[in-house]
Amino acid sequence: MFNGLRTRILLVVGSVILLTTIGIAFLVQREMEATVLDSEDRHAQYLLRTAFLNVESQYESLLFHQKSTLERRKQELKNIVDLAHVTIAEAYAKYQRGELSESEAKQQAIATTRQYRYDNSVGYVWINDLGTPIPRLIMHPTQPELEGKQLDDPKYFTALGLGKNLFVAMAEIARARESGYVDYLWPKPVAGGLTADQPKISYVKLFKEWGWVVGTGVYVDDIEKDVQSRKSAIIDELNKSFAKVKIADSGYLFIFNGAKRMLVHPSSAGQDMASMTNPGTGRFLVDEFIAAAQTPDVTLKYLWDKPGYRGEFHFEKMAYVVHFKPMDWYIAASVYTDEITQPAKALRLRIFYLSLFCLAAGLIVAIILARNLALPLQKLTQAAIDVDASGADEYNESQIPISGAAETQQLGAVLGNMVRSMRQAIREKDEALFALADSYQDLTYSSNRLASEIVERKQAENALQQAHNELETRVEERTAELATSNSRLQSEIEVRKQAQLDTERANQAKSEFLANISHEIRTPLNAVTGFSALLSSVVSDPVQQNYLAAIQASGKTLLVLINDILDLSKIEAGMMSIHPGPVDPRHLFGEIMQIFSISANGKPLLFCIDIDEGLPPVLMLDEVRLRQVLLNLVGNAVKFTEEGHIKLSATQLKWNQQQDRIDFSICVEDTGIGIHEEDRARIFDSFQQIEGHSRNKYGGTGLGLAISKRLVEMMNGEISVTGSAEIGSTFRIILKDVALATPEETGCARKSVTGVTPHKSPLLSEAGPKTSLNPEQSSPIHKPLELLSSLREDVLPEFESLKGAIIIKKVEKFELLLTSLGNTHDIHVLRKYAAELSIYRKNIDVAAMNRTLKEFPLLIEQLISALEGKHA
Amino acid sequence: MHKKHTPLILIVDDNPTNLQVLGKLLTEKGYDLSIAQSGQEALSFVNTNQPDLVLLDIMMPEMDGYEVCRRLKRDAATRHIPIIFLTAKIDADEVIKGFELGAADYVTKPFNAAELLARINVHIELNTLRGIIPVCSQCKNIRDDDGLWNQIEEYIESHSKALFSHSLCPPCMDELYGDQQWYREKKKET
Repeated sequence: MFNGLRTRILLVVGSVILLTTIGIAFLVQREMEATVLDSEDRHAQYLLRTAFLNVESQYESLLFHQKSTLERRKQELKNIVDLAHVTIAEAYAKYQRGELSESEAKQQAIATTRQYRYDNSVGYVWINDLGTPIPRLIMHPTQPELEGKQLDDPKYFTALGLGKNLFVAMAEIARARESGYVDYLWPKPVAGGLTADQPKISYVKLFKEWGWVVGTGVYVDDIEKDVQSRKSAIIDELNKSFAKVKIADSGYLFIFNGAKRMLVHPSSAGQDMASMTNPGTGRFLVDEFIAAAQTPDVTLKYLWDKPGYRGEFHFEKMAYVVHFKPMDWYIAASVYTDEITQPAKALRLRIFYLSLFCLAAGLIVAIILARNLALPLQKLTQAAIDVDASGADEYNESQIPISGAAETQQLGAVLGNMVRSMRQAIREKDEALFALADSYQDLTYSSNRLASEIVERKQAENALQQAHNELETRVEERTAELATSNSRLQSEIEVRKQAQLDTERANQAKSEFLANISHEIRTPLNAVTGFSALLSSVVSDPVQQNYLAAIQASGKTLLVLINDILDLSKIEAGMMSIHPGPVDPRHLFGEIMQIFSISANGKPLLFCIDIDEGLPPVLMLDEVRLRQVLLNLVGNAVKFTEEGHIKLSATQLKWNQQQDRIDFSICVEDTGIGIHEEDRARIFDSFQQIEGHSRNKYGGTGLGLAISKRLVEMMNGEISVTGSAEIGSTFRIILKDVALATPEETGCARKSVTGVTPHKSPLLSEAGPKTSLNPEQSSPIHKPLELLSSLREDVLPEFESLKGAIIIKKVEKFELLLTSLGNTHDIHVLRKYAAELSIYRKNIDVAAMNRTLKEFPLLIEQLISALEGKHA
Repeated sequence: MHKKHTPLILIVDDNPTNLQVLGKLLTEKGYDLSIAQSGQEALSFVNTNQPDLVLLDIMMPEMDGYEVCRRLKRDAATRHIPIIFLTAKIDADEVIKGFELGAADYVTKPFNAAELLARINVHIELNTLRGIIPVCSQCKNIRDDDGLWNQIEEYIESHSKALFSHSLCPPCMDELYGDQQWYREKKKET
């Protein structure tokens, strides 16, 4: 029911207006009522205040009148006394001038003043003296019997009401100030006697020359009467003016006095109020009024009657009372409560009707508005329902109403578009369905054909599978046979391998033992040769010198023997390795020749060198080891040749152009004692020397040829011996696949050779400076020691840091270090190693990199030991 | 101009062939490379080096890729390094497990080179200019990993793809040229 748009709009507008109306009724109205009440209240108090000020001003004028009347009377008295005083003064002047005697003058003055009358003959002048304690009367026109007597009558003592004699008081004033006024009470003469005491005022003046006090008095009771008559005139006027004042409809002002008499009142002026009670409280009303005047903040409420309802004391009244003290008057304003609240009530009603009107108007506007908004939407909804009922393809979108607000119109347009596109979509869908049905038929046909083909193929496949299976079983049988024979072979290989391993191990153990023990022997031997050399310098006895020479010779022999043993054992233990470098054979031969020109000293020997001109100038050889071999062979030749010649020759045998490698031979030919045919096979074994020749004659360890043979073999070569006994022998070394040095290495080798003496050359041929890179650094700096320390301090730590994950950058850095070290010290093996590692790194061949890195410790160890060996 | 930082990638795989293929691919693209052949090796590498990205194989003997990832993410010093799993597994559970462990991405083997490179590039760029950058509170220069102080634009240009074009903001212009006659006239015109 509340779902309709129209209903909702109505509800919203209605509830807004209703809420506003309720709000006004309960909040605003209450506030306004209070404001109206307050303003009425203020109005009443304002009137009261005005009345109070009115009474006050009336009182002021009354007081002024009273005072001015009294002043006029006093002036009159003064004038008369002054006149009498002048008269007395004339009489005294006459006496002074001597026209009269003193008593005559007095008599004349008294007689004249006695005649003075004023105010309808009621007023007169009297004279008394200044006699003490009580003055005597000198002249009094109305009571001449008292003249000459003392004024001690008791009534003179009461006149002032002070217990003091009237005339004594007058005499005191005259004596002190010469003149002055005295108020007192005195009987008044009227027609037919005297009245009771009346207020009287007298003026006295002293005539000094005679000590007379002249005085006159006047009754002032008429002034009081005058004031009273004026007072009642004021009350009359107030009655008249208050009657015109209305508070609200029938509220009024009234005045009563402290004697509880109503003075001013619209209806009951002059009444005694003392008996009136407040029906509300039961107390005397006037007492409540008086109490209310003491507390001006409190509004007095009481029940009273009303004009038109006289005697019905049930109308609530409110009264405001103020007290006018100088006259003891209470001025009050009273008003009927219902009359004060009347305007507020009227206002409330008016607001209520206005709200009702607004509610009705609002509802009408809402109804129109709701209709205006909701109707186009309802139409649209109906159109959408129609589309749904008839289907989008049947519906004509021009029937969709486009009306109402802009948004509704837009909605209508969108709905139209939707219907249009839906219709199009349905049409496309139908077409697609038809096309699908067609292709489905085609598909079914071709899939049937495919199915039949598959069946055919399956059959062919089965036949093939069968043939394959047969083949497989045959293969399996043959494989099994092969496996058994293979395993037999394997086990045999294992057995043989084990045997070989055992042999090698035993051999190695022997070599190691020899290496160790040789070293241990060398140390004490050094002491023996060293101390014997020392001793020979201090001993002079020829016999002892002879003994010492024998000791030294034996020591030297032993040292050579031990060195040879060390070499041999090193070779056999696999601790000796070959380090090829660029070598110039011509230079090497020349060097050897020089050495032997020293050792062959004294023998008639011709030493000649013959080098094939075609032999490349620089070859990659292990110069140290080659030199060792050649020295050994040449040494033997010199040793066993007494005369004739020794020839050192080199011949190129083969040149492999593709790999730039050659085979060549070195021959050492002598004309010495030669070797017998049967001895030739044994001479390369350890500790063999040609029989028939005593060791003493030729010396040597018998190890030289054995070592030479091993070294040549390590250099990928062979050694053989030819010749015959007594004629001489020829030792022939054939070295195969010797690499040619690159031009760079060639230059390096030549430079290194030219710069040094032959005796120092063995190491420097390998450790020459890389001049093309470091021209300034000359050779002496690059000693093997420095290379050693570089290897130990730079290369090894760097290598250690490579352990763990492979960091490509670090590997590259390591390569660079090796290459630069290899270049600087001309160590080819380092360069080669770096180049190899570089290829693997560039290919990220992790396996090869790992393998290559594992080889490094061995390489470096060999390098270090070779360097140390040379150094030692 | 400051040298551009070359990203370092750690590949962890027990298979040398995989390493070779991946390694060639990445070095050709100019990345720095480190190679670990086991989880243990990878962890000890990360202890002393800060790779910008880890390519992590899951199936490895002894310590598998999940465990390596778990340990890397547990350590505050290595938590920020993005990890891409290389896996032959295409099981959704396994992939989810990888992500739950904090992996940035995963690539299935056999991988498509272009796709792998794109993913690596994304994660390395995501990681640029992250973390705490030490900056001088006075001149706003930035300290790089080598301990050198760089002007802020140099640093950002070398650590990100952003470029700078220099000009002056109005307050600085006022400060620089405020006492120049031509500047005041020009300012008055505009």
